[in-house]
Amino acid sequence: MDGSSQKTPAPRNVLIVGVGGQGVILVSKVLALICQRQGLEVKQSEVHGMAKRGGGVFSHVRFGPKVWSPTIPRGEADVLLAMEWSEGLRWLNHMRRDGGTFIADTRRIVPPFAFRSRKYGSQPSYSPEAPREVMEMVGSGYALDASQIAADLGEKRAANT
Amino acid sequence: MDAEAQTRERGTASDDAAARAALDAVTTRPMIGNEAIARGAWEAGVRVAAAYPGTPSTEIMEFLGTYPSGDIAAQWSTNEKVAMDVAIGGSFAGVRSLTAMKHVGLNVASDPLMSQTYIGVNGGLVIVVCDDPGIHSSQNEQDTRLFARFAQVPVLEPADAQEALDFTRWAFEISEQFDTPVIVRSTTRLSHTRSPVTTGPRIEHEPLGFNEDPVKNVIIPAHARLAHPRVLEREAKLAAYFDDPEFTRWEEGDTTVGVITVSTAYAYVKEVLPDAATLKLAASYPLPMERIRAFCQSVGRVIVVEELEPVVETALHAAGIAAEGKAWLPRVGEFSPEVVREALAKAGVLEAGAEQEPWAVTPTMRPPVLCSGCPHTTAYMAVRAVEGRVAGDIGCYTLAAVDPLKAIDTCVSMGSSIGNAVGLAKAGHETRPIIATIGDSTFLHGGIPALIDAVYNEADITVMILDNHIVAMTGGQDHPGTGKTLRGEETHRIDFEEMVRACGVQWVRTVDAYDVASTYQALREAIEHRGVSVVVTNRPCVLDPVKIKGAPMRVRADGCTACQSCMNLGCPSIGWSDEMLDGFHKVTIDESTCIGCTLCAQICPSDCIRPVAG
Repeated sequence: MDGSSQKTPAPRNVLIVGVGGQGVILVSKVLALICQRQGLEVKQSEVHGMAKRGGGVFSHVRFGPKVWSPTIPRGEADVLLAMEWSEGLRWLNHMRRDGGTFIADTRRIVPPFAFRSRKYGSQPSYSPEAPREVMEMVGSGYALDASQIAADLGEKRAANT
Repeated sequence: MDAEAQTRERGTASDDAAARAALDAVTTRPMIGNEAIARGAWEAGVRVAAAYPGTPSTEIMEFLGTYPSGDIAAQWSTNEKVAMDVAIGGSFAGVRSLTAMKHVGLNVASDPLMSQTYIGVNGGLVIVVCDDPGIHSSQNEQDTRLFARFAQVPVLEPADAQEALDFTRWAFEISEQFDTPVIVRSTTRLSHTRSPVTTGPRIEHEPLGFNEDPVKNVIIPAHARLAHPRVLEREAKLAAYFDDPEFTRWEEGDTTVGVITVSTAYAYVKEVLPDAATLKLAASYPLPMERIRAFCQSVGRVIVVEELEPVVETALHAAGIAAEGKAWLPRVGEFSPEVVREALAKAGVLEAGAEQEPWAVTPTMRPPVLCSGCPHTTAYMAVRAVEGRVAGDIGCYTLAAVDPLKAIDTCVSMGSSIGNAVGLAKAGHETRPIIATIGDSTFLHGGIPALIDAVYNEADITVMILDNHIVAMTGGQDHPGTGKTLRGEETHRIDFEEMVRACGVQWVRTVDAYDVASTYQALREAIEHRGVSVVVTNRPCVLDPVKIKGAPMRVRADGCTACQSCMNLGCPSIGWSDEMLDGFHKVTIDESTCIGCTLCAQICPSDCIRPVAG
């Protein structure tokens, strides 16, 4: 592969985030395989290790005629798909401010760390922004209670489908 | 492990031609770097492979274990030094051999490496080392390239998964041609990025047989003195070898600034500065200085873009080449397109991109935690209860260092806890009981010599072996305490009590980690024993090898006094309800994630936590 890549269209960037056990890696592997079957070059990058331990999980999927960096440059994600609300907020600045789409499950998975204060009257330390105000700010996207939708359909675990 | 790998595993049980053809087929599919490394080794005809699990390297051996046992003897070893010695043994026997480890694993395995670099190889010997820039899952971000330089062995640095396959295969050729161990260096980003890889067939190599040459194989001083000059000659020959355009790729472009780069840093350079003249190295030691010098003379300014240490840059300076690099690029942390772009902007090579205005949102702190029902929790509640001075170790249980358990005072390296505890005791002024906590696999990896040391030197310490029957942190691998091999076959299972007694420990007791009272009691008695005492807490990991799920627990809200005792467990299934009592939240249990371990019920002073079923 030579270096004359400047005329190649830029890749599409999808950032998928959530917490361990939500299927972030599975969703991104499926997306990567679909893109590859469409004849596109795909890079999909994740970090293992802490995924099963309740920490945040994220996976970068990039596809196009040519993909160089395995990670999406900050501010260039075309789509930010968040399977947990506060994880979506954590990665919001990785999304294109101009034209990015934010798709988020409004389900809140509150970590034990949020309850660490033992002071009188303490409240959990969880992102206070309401879905409505975030969506008004971002402009493009959807905040869905996917877990509830899936539960109504009879299978809570289908929220990522 | 993905479905394709599992299919392959099943398909290889028989030796029929169809399965063999499927395995040898040339296909292109997305692979993580670690799978590509395993595939490259298999294609190269590797026969012996050994490793100890460690993020981000673990999947290499897991994938090798999916290839036919007739092709490869693949195994988990007790630690990286043993794994290195096993691979060296394979090389002595005249077959291609490989060991894989994380960067800090090479510290453990460095002793045989420093000898083997003098000895050289018979069958090709490849050492895959996965670095962790950015410290995603490690205790440091040491740069293996410095180790390669120190050991004077060549280090190949693939930039993507295809190169991971190609370079691993190629590494065996280099090893045999130049009579040297070869390091293939990966990083977290390469090991765990999936990108398209085209495979090839396996090329078998007939075993060469043992080479009866004591002057080569027995590295006593007289032989070592003969070997050292050969190592230096080898270095020069390898530098000339890498001078080939195939290995040190000169990409023509704008010559105002020329970039020299290596590893995944190459991808970031191509992302942000695609038009610059670029010299892409395959190996960062030894360096092909002729070609590098010619490249540098052809461009206005030279910038070296390499992650972590300035290995290439320093060598260029030593050769009198005016190269820039770490003046602009960070020496710490992981690279990304934005890191490289910002550095090149600072260097005046790029226009500083307009940084988009950040959204005003408040992220939630979400550090990794012990799982719901993790059996390690009990041990750390117990060491808190006795106000121990706790020397910790490496594993999931290191997570007990943070809120709310906050039960570990030190963590150094694999197996360090016991030796650290001996030192804490020998210092002579600690008033708290001194306790070392160490996992089952970590104890077998590096804890046993330290336990013998403690007995031998009559240290007054208590060791807790947290036996969860698995290497948990790396995703559930077998080890000598599980009674299963890498390929899942039954084998001898280490009995921890027997092992500890054989080391000379007089006081040892095994307790059920789900029995809070017995664990507390055992720890109290162990501490009262003068000398070395050992408590083994015994319960399987809740995730591996079987995901455990029992009847969940429920809080009777009318009985909850909001005392927060159960919140001290740090269990991810327990949270605050909206109901408050005297300014404190009552608690609630997420029944979908609770596995019913009952630890919270056992410590609840108002007895308001009961199983849902009951």
